[in-house]
Amino acid sequence: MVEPVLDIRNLTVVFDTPAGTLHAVNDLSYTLMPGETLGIVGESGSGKSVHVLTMLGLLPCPPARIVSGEVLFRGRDLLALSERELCDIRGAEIGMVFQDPMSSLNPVLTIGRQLREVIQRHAGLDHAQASARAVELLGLVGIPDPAARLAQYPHQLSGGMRQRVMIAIGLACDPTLLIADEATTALDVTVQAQVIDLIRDLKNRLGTTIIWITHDMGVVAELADTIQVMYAGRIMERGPIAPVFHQPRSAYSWSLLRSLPSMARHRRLYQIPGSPPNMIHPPPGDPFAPRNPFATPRCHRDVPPLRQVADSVPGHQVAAWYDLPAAVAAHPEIADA
Amino acid sequence: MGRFLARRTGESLFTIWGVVTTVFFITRVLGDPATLFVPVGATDAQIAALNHSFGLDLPLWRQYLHYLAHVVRGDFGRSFVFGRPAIDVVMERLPATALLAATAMALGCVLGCTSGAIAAMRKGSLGELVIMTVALLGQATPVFWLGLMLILWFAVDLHWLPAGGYGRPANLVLPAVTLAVFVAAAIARLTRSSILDILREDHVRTARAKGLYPATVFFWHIARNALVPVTTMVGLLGGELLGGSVVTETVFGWPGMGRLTVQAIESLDFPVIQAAVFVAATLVVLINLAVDLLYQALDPRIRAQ
Ligand SMILES: Nc1ncnc2c1ncn2[C@@H]1O[C@H](COP(=O)(O)OP(=O)(O)OP(=O)(O)O)[C@@H](O)[C@H]1O
Ligand SMILES: [Mg+2]
Repeated sequence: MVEPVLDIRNLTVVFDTPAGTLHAVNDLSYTLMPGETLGIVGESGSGKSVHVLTMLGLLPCPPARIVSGEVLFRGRDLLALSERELCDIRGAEIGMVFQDPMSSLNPVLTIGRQLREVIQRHAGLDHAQASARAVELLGLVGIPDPAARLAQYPHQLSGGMRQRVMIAIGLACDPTLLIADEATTALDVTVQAQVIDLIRDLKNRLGTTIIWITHDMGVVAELADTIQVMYAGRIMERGPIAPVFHQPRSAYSWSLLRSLPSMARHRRLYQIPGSPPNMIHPPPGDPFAPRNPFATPRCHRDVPPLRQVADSVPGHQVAAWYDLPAAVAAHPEIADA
Repeated sequence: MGRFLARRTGESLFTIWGVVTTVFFITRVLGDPATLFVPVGATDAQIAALNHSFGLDLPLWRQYLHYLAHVVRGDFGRSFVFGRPAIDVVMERLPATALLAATAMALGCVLGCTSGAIAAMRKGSLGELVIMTVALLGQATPVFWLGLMLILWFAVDLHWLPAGGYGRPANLVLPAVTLAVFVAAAIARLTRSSILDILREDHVRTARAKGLYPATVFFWHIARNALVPVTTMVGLLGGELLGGSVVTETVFGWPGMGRLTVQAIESLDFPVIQAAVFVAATLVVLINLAVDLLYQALDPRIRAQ
């Protein structure tokens, strides 16, 4: 049996804020198999960034506090490692690509230095070897004239080029797992498409396991094998791309899909009613219930567990008390609104 | 780069000319030096003769042109008091001022950067509170008071160090510490706030996500970036100190340019005032130029503009 690359178990993370305890990640569990590309979507504040920063030990504690959970990466619990041991994994076995490549690169250091330092730190290469590897990486991510870029500074590159540099840094040490957090959000549509092509190509060539965090369902459809929809620090629905997109089982993923221009076809664009959940005083039951037109009384009372949708679709899971296809069929007026 | 240097050199010369001109006219309204140098009850003829020997009987515009023509040759005339070339009198005092300024700057930078960095990296700790309180007090304390207190404790009470004088390393300690406290306080506060700003920036998180050692992250991705604003302040303070720290030099009887300038003003020794101001202005201009160059070396974004 193939071991998962990542196995997150019951991860709960809170922030101690002056206004009270903010529940950012709630009892989150999922696994990621080798070579899999997981697309994570969800509104702002749904805990996407916080849970990956937690597993890399990059969250400021305080205010953050890990209440419970394990993050098994190739069998080792990252949360139990010392900062030293975690340092050896970060950048080497797990590569990270962050949003906004302007602010995520150091403005006063050359591209070459920022690439070399991660290579030299983990691969034990000397300066010349690291430079050669840096040139190779810049070529890999499609940067023209890579050798000349080493001496340049971030402000001398375009946004798309900077994001490619970030990806090169993430891939520098051939990581087992690459995590990209909103890596294409700051880019314009054409550049975004180029970067997505690049990632798809790299994934096929290198077989890297990828977590791709985004607001954009379209990007997930193009890139991911598995989609995971998060809301209020929980997984609402998860499964292979096709069944989730064609037959969503959670009212939240259904709403997200309905608010996609390309998915809405001839209907009006759907607007999710209500406002994002209060994470300091979350509703008692299903966190999406207050905004869910199909919510049942039980939704307001109990938190639904993540369960298998049907035996016929392996891996498709949903956290819902209601049966969405039946509810939609019973209320065509909501579905057509 | 060449064009930048040419432009900045032009600006610097213009600044020095402005200072030299201003000080010429200001000294002329300070008073009539001849009245200070003649005995009580001197005749008008005696005063006129003295004015003539100082060149003060010429029309103001001729005095000014004469003055400028000599200034470009580094000649400020003879000191009324010392009877020697004014520029020599000033330059003799420069080593003392430079020594004090350099020592105080070095001490203040090391102390200020270290404590500011500790305060930022240990934000919210007791250490931060102590450091920032001391820094605030250091900035608020008048230099003359601190100097006098140090003399009282370390010279008068403990007899550890001399209260004043010049020539031996022990003489340097108290005046250097007095100035360094002020410098360190200013630098510590700026270092702390710059580091706190930089800690919030995304690229620090990137550096940590690369698995770099904490020391690498601190020196290359935090301190390196914080250096940019700190350099500016070091330059400003350095210029201030090199002009001669009047109060400290007076309190400790330090034979530097600051004390000389005050004495020259009291005795209306025009040539020395003018030479001292010229030297101080030139030093400040040179330091600013050096800071600008350093700034460009430190921040490539400025180089691009
Ligand atoms: N340093 C912090 N202090 C307090 N609360 C925080 C902090 N960082 C994140 N949070 C809170 O944790 C929750 C989850 O945030 P997170 O950044 O994971 O959201 P996200 O899903 O990544 O959103 P986005 O799409 O905007 O990036 C949010 O409610 C956010 O306000
Ligand atoms: Mg985020």
